[in-house]
Amino acid sequence: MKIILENLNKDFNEVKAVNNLNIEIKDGELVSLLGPSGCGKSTTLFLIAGLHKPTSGNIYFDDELMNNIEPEDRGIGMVFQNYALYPHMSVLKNIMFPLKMQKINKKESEKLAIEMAELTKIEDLLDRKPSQLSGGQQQRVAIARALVKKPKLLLLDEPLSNLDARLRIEMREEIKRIQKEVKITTVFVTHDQEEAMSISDKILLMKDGIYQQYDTPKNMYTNPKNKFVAEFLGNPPINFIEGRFNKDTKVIRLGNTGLTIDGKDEEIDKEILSIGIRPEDLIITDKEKANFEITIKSLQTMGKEIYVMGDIGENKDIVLVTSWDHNLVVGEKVPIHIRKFHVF
Amino acid sequence: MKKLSKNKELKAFFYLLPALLIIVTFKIYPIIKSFTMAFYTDFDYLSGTVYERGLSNFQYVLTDSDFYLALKNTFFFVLGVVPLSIIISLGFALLLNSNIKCKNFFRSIYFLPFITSTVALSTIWRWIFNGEYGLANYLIGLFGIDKINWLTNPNLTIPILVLFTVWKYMGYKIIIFLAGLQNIDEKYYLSAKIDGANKWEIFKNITFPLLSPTLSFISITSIIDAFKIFDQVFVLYSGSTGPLKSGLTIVYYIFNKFYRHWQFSIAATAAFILFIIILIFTVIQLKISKRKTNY
Repeated sequence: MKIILENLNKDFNEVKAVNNLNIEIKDGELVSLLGPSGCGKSTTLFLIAGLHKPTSGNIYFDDELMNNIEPEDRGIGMVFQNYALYPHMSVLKNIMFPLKMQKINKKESEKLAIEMAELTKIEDLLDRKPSQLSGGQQQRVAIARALVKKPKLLLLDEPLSNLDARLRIEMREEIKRIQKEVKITTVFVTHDQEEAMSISDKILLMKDGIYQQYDTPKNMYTNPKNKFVAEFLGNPPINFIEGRFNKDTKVIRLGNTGLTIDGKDEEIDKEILSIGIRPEDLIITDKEKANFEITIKSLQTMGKEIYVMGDIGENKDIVLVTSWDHNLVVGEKVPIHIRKFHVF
Repeated sequence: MKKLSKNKELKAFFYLLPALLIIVTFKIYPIIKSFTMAFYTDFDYLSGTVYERGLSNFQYVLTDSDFYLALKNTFFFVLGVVPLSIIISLGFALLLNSNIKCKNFFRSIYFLPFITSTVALSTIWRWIFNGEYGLANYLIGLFGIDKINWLTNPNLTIPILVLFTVWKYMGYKIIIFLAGLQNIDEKYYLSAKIDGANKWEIFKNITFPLLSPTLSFISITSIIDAFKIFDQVFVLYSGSTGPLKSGLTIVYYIFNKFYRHWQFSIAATAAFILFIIILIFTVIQLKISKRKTNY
């Protein structure tokens, strides 16, 4: 099912939680709503669910206007942040609950519920109570319950935030697998950029209720529309250096360091710029190819890679990511090549 | 190390001692005393010497028609007051838990009778049900119904007591129910709503089962309280047991035996029997509620 949000606004008293949002979610896509806390992503999800009513603007499912349709009539399944599994019901009863509300007979609904349990790999846990399940298992039950009535849209509100790091990676793969298997349009709220990038077909990044960028993870990472998008995606975060552009020579001077980079391939129409360079686009190289040198201030070993914090002069620090191949020592000067940079 | 913890225990014991002394003197000792007194058949109350023990008190009480009348009245009262007070206060608690205006105002209003003394309230109720100029008769008079002698009709004694007790303890029960309702995560309601449950289905499938710990607490304490009914009768019927002893309850029977007839050991025996009755009901309830709330 296709979803269209048109000039969508939601005010809570004076606060504009969602501010003039326009996006289209295609059928079968998995879209993440991403942003820092308080950016309006959960509000947007609740608006789509119908649990909040928009202050103004329209929500369409396919071509049908949804504004005045009650949540239970929208054909949605929802997984809440703490799963909201009914504690007094067994796993099977939990999964069967939406069918019971649809007055589907017991035999039929039990069959459907077991099918769903098999899809989410919890068929062995059907007799347990939610309190006897681990976080990951509860998550699976919640997804099974959301999907059992065959909704046309699956909504997930921060579904992974209660899980530990390893389980989170496992469950996000699972969500992706189940979503592809059922081929259901899915909207997923998260504040974790890595989570969003790893499973989404598209990401909507928001800040203070305002649309920032709506794009594929790859495009968003490689072509961020603004400084906020560039900074929000990627770990360690992107380096920003103030730059001055000389229109005649097409050369960008970095801060007060005296270092310059070539700007002739860029479309630049202002003099003072912010240059963003991703840590992985700073490459340790030979002296001839180098754009500049840095003095290593500290090294952080992360496992597969090393974060290097270096000074490019005038106390301007940057972070770069490199492999173990180089024998780096604190205090050493290393030549650096800039593979790619962004101008804001 | 062991010595240290011994010292700690001793210290704790001394801190607990004052409260313990008071409880033992005024609660535990009288309880034991009245239990044993139930078995005194011949004794001197003033000197405390017991000449003979036996079961003849039980024989007396269990063959006393007044005691059976008290049992019958009390059972009818319990049967009326417990379900009615639970249903009514749960209903009001649900109303107050939804988003209505002046929530706190209503909550305080409902709580007022609970904190007002029974004597004062009974006086008001005596006026309400007065046969000549009472409010109740005025109200039914508006509908053209003849005056009813509320407080002198033996058939109306238990209903009036039920009404009065439900009303008086409603505020307290509402507060407890509200606390229980507020413990239920709103996400369950949202989730159930999305799953297509209507208000009644949400109440039946979510609210009611999740409220069962509160519900069993309320029903156990209500039953215990209802079995102990005394002061409402005493004040509402000016120190009598109502018309034709229609307000004679077990505690009233105990009171009569003790203060009016000076049959101390008979009173102790009746108290013992009441204790057993309450114990049985409480154990049954605990068993049921434990089976129902296993999450």
